[in-house]
Amino acid sequence: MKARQSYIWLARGVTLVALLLFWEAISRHSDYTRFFVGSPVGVAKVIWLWFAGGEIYHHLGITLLETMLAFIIGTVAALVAGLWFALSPFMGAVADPFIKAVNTMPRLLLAPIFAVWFGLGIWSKVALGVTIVFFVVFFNVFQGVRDVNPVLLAHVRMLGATPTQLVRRVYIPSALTWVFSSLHMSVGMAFVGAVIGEYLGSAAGVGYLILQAEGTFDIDTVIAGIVILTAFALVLDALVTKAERSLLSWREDNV
Amino acid sequence: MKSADSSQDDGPAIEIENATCAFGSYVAVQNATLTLARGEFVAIVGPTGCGKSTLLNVAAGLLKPTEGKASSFGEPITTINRDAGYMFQIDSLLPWLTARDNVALGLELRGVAKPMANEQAKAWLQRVGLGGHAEKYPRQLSGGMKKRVALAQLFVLEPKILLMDEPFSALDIQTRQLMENELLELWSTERRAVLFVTHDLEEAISLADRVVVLGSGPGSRPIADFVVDLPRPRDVTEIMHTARYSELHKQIWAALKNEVLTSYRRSLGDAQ
Repeated sequence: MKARQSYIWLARGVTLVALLLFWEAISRHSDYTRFFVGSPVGVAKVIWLWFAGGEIYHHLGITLLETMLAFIIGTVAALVAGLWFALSPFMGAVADPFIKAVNTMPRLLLAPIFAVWFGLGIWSKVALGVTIVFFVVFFNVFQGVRDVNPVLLAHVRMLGATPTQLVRRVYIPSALTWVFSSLHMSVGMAFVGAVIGEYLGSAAGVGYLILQAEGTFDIDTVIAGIVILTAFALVLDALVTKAERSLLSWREDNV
Repeated sequence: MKSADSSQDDGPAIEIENATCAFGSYVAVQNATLTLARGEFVAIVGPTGCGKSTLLNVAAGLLKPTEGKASSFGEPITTINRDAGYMFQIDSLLPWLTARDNVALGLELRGVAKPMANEQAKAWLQRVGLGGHAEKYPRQLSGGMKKRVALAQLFVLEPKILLMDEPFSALDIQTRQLMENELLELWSTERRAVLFVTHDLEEAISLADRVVVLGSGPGSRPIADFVVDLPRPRDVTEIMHTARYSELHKQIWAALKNEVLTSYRRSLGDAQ
């Protein structure tokens, strides 16, 4: 088993190196290809200069801040709304068509409106991220609450639970499984919201760096921005997985 | 609190009078009357889908009869019956709580402080033979162990009435007989009123003081009532071999057989 695992890693490494070499080869073919596809060496240089010169920290900090704020505000709002609408059939029925309409709407196009409302600072990006994160989490909370086993509910009611205790002891833990599967998706989406927001109008952030580079057809810098964003999205996803492991430990197969 | 005083002198543990329970146009139970005396162990048998669980839910206060009356210790059942504990057919432990936390849950919900609740929970787990498994999650326990946790969960609240809906039907026969004996032993130390629903006549006779036969649904009601005068304490694995047991079985089966056949024919008719 162990040996097999190391073979898998070896194969992955070989694949990565091969892809990078292939890319570099295309890039070196002529000036045209260099211009269109950039080059891995060029990208690495940009990233090195960003971190060595310290230029990136400010932009990365802004983007991460926007992402985290969008993620937290969106998730909390979705938890509250999801619980409320799922537990009150009347509210759920009233809100249903509105939720569906807003969810189907191409929300990225709200970015210009948010720029007018909240200015070009971080809050217009946070707002955009929230509108994306909210719906992913909301539908999962809603489904999670609807999915609660009625016998569990009857059982805990017989044990003496009040409606509030029922929410805290049964509905929320039961919905958590659903929520966590949505958090993996929504943490990436919060990132998308932040970067697209920056891309459409801002004075700082990784999206802003990418936009500037695009203005000068600097493909290496655009790709460097994408690489950095991907790396940090993976880090955030790993954090969600860690939280999931500790909160949903009862599900783990090897406790 | 007032039920604690009044329960000493008013009425039987459960009294259901002329109750009718309809779900939309489907009438599950019609004009059912059933009394459960204090400390009495009553088993309800009947064909599948005859509304056995419906009667339990009325006694629990989970379901309000469309017509008729239901009371517990002389007081009408309007909301969850706080004197009753319920054991469900399917596994109903909370999967995200350990065995100990599951048993402690009822106490905590009733305002007992966590350390105290934990202590009582541990003591009860010990009593049902799971002292070493307190920190395990339901997923890590076998079917029989989960039922033991459910029994501890039920008894730790010291309910005056136990409502049991085919609690052991999912277990294999050996585990099941062990659990039945376990239940009888727990019950014998302090006789609580038990309403035990089952489709298994053997189980009903070996456990109960009285067996009530429910007619086939829809619109079923108790149609026969038999006193089980077998001596206690009983061992469910041995009691089946006594002459009196066979005699009772024959009598009750005679009443039950027709209902089972009617119910079976009806289900075939529905399918066609």
